[in-house]
Amino acid sequence: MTFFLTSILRNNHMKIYIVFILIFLSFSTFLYGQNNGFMGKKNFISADIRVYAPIIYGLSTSDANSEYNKTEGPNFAPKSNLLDYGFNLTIGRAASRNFGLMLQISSSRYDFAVTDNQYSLDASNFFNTGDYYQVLKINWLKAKVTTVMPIIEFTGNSGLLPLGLSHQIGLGFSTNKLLKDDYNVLIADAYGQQFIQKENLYDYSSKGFKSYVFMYKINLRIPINDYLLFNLGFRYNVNYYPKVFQGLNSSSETKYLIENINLRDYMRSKEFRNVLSLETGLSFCF
Amino acid sequence: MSKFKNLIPLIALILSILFGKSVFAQQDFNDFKILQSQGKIPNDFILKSSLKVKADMQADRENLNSREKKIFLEGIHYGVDELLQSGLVIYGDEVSNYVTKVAGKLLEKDVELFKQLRFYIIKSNVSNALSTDQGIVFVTTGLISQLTSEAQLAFILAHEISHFTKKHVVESFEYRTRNRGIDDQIKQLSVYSQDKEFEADILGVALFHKAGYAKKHITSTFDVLMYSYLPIDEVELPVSYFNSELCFIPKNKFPDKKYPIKAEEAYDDSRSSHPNIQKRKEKTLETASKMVSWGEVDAYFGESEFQYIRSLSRFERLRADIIENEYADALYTIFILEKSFPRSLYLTRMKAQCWLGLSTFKIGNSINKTLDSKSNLEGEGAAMHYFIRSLNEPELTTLAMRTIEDCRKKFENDTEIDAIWQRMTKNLFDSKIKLNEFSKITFTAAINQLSEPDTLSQDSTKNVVDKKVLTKYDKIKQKKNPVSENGVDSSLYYTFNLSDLIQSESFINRCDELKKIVDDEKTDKKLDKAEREKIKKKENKTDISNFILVDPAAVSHKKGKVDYNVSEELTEKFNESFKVASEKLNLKMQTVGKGNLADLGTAGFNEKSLFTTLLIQISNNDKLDIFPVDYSYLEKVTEDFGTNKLVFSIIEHSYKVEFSSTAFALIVFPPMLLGYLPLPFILGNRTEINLIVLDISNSKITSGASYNFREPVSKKGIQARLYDILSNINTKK
Repeated sequence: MTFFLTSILRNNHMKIYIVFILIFLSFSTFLYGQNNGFMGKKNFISADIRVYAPIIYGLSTSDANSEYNKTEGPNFAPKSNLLDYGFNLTIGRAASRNFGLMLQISSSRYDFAVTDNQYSLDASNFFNTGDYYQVLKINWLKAKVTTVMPIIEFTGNSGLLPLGLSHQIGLGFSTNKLLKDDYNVLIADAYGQQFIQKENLYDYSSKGFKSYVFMYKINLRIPINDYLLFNLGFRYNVNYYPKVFQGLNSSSETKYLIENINLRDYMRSKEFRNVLSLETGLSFCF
Repeated sequence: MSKFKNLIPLIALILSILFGKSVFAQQDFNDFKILQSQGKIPNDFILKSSLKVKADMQADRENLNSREKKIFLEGIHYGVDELLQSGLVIYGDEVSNYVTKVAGKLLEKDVELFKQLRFYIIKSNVSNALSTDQGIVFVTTGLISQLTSEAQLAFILAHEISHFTKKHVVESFEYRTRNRGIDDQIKQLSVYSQDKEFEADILGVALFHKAGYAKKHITSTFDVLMYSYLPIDEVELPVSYFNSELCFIPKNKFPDKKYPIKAEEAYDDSRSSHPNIQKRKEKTLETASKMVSWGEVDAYFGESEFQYIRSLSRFERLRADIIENEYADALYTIFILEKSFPRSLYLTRMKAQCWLGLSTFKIGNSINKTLDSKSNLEGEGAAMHYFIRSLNEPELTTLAMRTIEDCRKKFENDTEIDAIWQRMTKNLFDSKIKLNEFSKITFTAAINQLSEPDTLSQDSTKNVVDKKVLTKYDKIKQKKNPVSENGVDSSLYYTFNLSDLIQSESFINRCDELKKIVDDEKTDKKLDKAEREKIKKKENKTDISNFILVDPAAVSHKKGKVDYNVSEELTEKFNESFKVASEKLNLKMQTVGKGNLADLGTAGFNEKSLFTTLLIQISNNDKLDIFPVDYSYLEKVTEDFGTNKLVFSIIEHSYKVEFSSTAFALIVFPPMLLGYLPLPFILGNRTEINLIVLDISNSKITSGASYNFREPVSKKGIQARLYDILSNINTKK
């Protein structure tokens, strides 16, 4: 005559009743329901920052001849490339509860290394004096990527775009351009004399290297108030540089240290090993 | 003389004080009102469970460390609070007060102990009593309905109070915690638990003895415990019970044998928490025999008060049986009770409800769920189960209609019985019977008319076998099949049982109404796919511009276990989110839940219990339509609230990072693994909102939503989801 409590409770759990009823009556989620968006709002503008942590790239370029930091004088101080960054501006609309369309303009910048072995970089032609010059160290370079991308967004059955967890797939067009900067190259002449060269290193007049970008992102939007959503997502980017976009100068009589076609390969190398990025920001719904 | 008249109220007051033991307000069983909580709502029902745990954490529990203490206190408080809020528990009612009075008598010399205890009633037909560590003693109406004296109740209470004073609940917890993983744990636990039961029996006897109750009631209390699974009495169901001037039931529908009672006192208790009755009885009587100066009291508060309290509990049995679809048991109890209360409106309503329920289950091919299996038939009550099982669908439906029609005639103006009648006519219409099969004369009249064949009309003879044309083979068959009776094919006896009804104007009008509904449904079936989709969309919609939110609940899991504290916080968030979402959608929401019981008081608690019971009843009935057992009470409540839409909802959240087997495969290619790693963390959140809208007016679930999402649970997030759910459900934008 005592503890029969569990048996009574087992028969009396509110959840069990509600869930059983839902199963019996086959009420599904609102597959047919109207799209209410986030508190009745279906359009949104998002501003996000994008952060890459190029760990893989950093590990795989450790013995490259380029050095990350420049210093005054002939010494280069090594430093890890911990972070690349960018930002996105997106406008979107939830066409239905589970499907949305977006247009995104993004800009990001990253550092990359001239990854060829130092002995293969011969600066002799560059100076065109008939003497022998050897490139010893090269600063990491900076590139800027501008991307325009239409994106489709979709969710599972219980989606309520723009809120919550969603998958995004985009195919866009991007331009990678070398940023003009005060880059250094440490050069040694045939007599072992070392000096820093700053000019005529690269061709800044180039319009940039064009590529297609395929993107998948898993994104979470968490509400802050009735208008703002906090965004958090992981993005996977893959660039493809088709031949049709090349049109690069491949002449051996270049007046620059590194030919554009090689620069593009260095950029591509960085992008290939920097697939994953974290994006976070805010969405304003209206 | 006028001066003397003025003294009458004073004299009455003095008399009532002097003879207080026998003067108490009784309700009229002809107009029985279900037991509901009365008076001020106790703190047990309104205090947050977390506060109770916090308060009890201060108390010293010698043998438990702080972690164990927390687990124990959370277990008992959240568990008992769930029971308190289940809709089954009542306080301050006549039965609870009576139980408290009897306990007060037991503890007359230990007022301090009495002050620590609270006594509540559980509306359940499980015969049981239980005490909790926090000092609550529960007694079920099922147990009280089976007792034969106040002293038996006193002995049971003495036993439960002893469990409390000896702190058996915490000791059992401690034992279980310390003995995890031992061999055959259930058996060991059983031995331990049985020792505690013996201890409670022995201490209980001492308390019982001290209070002055007579020793003879100890044995009879064990008899109650032994046989309380049977109905409230053992009375033979006569084969003529359903027969009347308008109704005939053949005898062969009843069992031709008695079903023995199988229970044995010395059953195997090796894996049970309680010793078997024989051992308990022997040990208790042995203890009792050592005590001297036994009292002679059977009832301190009078036999009539005990009988009254027991009748209240017996009436409540019907309600509990109907909620659990135990219609045959309820009908047997009605058969017993109506001998004492032949004009009881409540019994008549419950009888009508039982027959409506039975016909609904029969038509829905689920009748077996309401009846005991043949191997479980025991005692006189078995006859009712046997009888109902022997009826085929036309027979049962006809008898149900017949009985409900009789109930309606008995209480012509009762709206509840009328509503049951309306539903029953729909069942009759939906069953396999064709209305034109029914005869306009009774079975008895048909037999009588056989002796005067010339007077028979063509219609009235259609189920009568013409004696003149019986062949040899018909006669052989008739001999082999005893249902053929006096020349009338008694296998079709039911077709004579609605002779009055099929000629009544109200029934004919109702049939026309139903025919129209069926025709409309047929037209619906002809709709093309697009139109049906449209209707399907509409079907999940309800006008919830004004609704009652009933006890919104939340469960949060952590590491596979319920996190009670977080669950309580989530419940508050959920409640608040409902408020915001409905305000934004201009929906009028009234909440009846644990969260606002302090404001709503006992009236709110009773309303919540009614709503919860309705939900329980619906969930017990699968897809079948039910008739609410508390129909009349719900009618009144919906009038007070100005709406008949109830919303029940629960949110459940868990966070668990799960790495799939793919992750291990990706180890061979670290860059991919790096890409995969963030996903389980993002996808670890699992939140589910389940919501149903229940329309009291037809006791149907009109809308529902089961909603999963994988974002972290936040107040704004819940609000947005609820905004969406309510907006989608509501028909009026």
